[in-house]
Amino acid sequence: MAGAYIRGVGLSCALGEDSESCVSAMQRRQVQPVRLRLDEFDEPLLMPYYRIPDRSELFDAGRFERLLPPVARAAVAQAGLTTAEIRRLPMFIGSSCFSIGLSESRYATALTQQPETAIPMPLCGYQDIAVILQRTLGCEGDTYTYNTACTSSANALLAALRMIELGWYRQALVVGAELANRTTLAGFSGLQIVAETLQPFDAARKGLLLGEGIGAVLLSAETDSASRLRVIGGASNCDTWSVTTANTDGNSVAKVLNQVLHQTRVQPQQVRGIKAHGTATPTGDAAEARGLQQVFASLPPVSALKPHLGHTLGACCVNELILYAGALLRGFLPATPGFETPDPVLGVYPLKTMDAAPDGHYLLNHFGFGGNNTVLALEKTAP
Amino acid sequence: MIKIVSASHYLQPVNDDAALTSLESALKDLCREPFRRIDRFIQLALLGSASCAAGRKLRPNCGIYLGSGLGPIGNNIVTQEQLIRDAEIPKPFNFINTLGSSAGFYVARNLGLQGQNFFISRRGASLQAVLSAVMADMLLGFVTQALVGAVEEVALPLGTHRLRQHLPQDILLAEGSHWLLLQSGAGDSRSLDLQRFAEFTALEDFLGSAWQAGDRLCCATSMDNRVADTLRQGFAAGALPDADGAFHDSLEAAWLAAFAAGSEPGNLFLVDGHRQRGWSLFHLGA
Amino acid sequence: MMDREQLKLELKQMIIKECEKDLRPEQIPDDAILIGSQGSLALDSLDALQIALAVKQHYGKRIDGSNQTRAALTSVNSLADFILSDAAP
Repeated sequence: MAGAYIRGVGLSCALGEDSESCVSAMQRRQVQPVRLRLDEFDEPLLMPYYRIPDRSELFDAGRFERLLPPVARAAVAQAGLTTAEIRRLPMFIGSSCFSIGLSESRYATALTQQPETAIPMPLCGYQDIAVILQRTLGCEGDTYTYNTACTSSANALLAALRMIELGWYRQALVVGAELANRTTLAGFSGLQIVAETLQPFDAARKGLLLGEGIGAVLLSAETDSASRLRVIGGASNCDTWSVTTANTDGNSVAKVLNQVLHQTRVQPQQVRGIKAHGTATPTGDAAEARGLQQVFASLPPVSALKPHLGHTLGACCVNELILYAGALLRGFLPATPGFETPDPVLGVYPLKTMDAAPDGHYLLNHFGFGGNNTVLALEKTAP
Repeated sequence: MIKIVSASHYLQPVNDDAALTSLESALKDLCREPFRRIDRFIQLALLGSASCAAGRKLRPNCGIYLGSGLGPIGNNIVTQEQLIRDAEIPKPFNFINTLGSSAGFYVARNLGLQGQNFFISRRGASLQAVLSAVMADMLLGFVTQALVGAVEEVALPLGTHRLRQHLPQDILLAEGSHWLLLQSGAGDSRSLDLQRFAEFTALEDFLGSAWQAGDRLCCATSMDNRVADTLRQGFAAGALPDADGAFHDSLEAAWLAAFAAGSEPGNLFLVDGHRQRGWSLFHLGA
Repeated sequence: MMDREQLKLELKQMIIKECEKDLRPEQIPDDAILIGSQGSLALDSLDALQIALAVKQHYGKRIDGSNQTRAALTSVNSLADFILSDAAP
């Protein structure tokens, strides 16, 4: 398989509003979540939250349209596409929030102004991200919107990769988008898996922290002298053990890891680093750790990135890919700030401090509700 | 060669604002375990996928490709009402079922599948999106068997459901669950293939050479009307598989599944596309 | 003061409704283990969350991950005790 080159990226998340500042902020471990307080419930909903540091109100209705286009534009601009290429550019979107925040705001406003005619879910369907990006970027290509919980943008990227390999498209824009919305914040609070600190693979891990982020990756069949990163393969499967987590025996995780290694003809000992999913939930990390143990006799360096930007849910693949790829290009493997006390049951010890990132193969893990497991393989080559 | 080894077609026009048809008894016969915590969208997905797979032992790595324009709209409405109108934390079951992947989870669980499981949407053309994705995976050999379907749910009241989709108030709405079971290899069942063209004239030329008397042509609902008319004039043919004049967001799935589930002779061609993004021609063989 | 027997009946009805179980209240013994594979109801951690939220909304008492409150979900008896206890909600 020829794979697809990463020719452009754009990112906006808690770490910053462009990809380079995000990688620098991750390198300096400087971002902390803000304290969020929602007062509309019978008791206030409090949680730490990794928000994009723009100046607007978190639930401002205009944020969606304001924050999405610059990220996608950055990825397209970096790749230096022609106007004609941009016009036929296909988009592969992965999001678990789609336009739900906007829908909530409109319904809330209608309930205050004209309660008798207020319609819940005034915006339905999944198309709004694609519509906004097509309009603002001038793209008219095919669109695919994936909504598979926390693997959404991983599956979108996998589809883009495969269609590029088939020759259907020369380039594709892959977008992950998660913006603050009440459904997600309150929904996760009801699931009682939001913790005070995010500590992947730590003995004291209690759960995840949520975050928002928009990422865009421009994949291309053609390389240029500057591209040193290539997505070389990926695989996805479904584990029907539980709707909220992969089986903690790790079997389905091991299976999908082995599929990727087999498909890309990479031996476990050739893997130079792993970007873990690492949500820091007790069962999620257990499933991932046991899966990794089954495949790797000796684990390559593991980085879990969610302590840097929170769990950006459906967008986490694209967001974390951009951070990880950015780190690889600067020659380092990211540290995992929340990891302090090893959990001997898991036996996965993420990097506490940065390490060097050699050329070679890297794996990126993503697991989601609905039993969805998706792993991608990345190759870094010499300049 | 990709073959359509089975198809199922559920299309139910909804006239009554009082209640939707109950799917419980049909599901009791089709599901290998009684599922709790499922919403109507999941019920529709289970109903269609189980009918399509009925009597067959699927391969454990059989893929699932579920398309939908609106997704679990009824459950999303309930969740949003809990959250915004009632100012309550959404119930965990409702919250989890707002995710597109939940329906695929239950389909996989019901049929004992552990392969790829995707939910893909493209407004007004979700079938074309899932068919493109499954064809790519099968052509590359990542998948050798796949269930591909489109599911659309109606949420009452009907007037609001039309308003939400910006539809005229006199349009007849329908629920649907339409599925194809695809398999790589030879066989005497209908074949499915996908041709992609950059230029419209190339599409016309191809259709001209492939066309036989009695074949059917479907133009995607999202296509430009004038282009569709040009094609229809050139390839006047048998009537479309009947959707009873009813509408939902994945009508193309209703046409294809009805045709594939039936035994009428001839080929069916579904055209979708646009001057900028190029043209796709889905071909169901005789 | 809430009547304990009446409360237990309400709780059984609530569990049946929230967890969509095909049961009548009298089929759930007061001391039956509610959650986990050793329980007769075959409820899991997701059911536990659903019940916890309903208890919060109906009775104002919070059941979270801490051991004391999680023990409330052991049986209908323990759930009734928890709701009738003086512990701050």
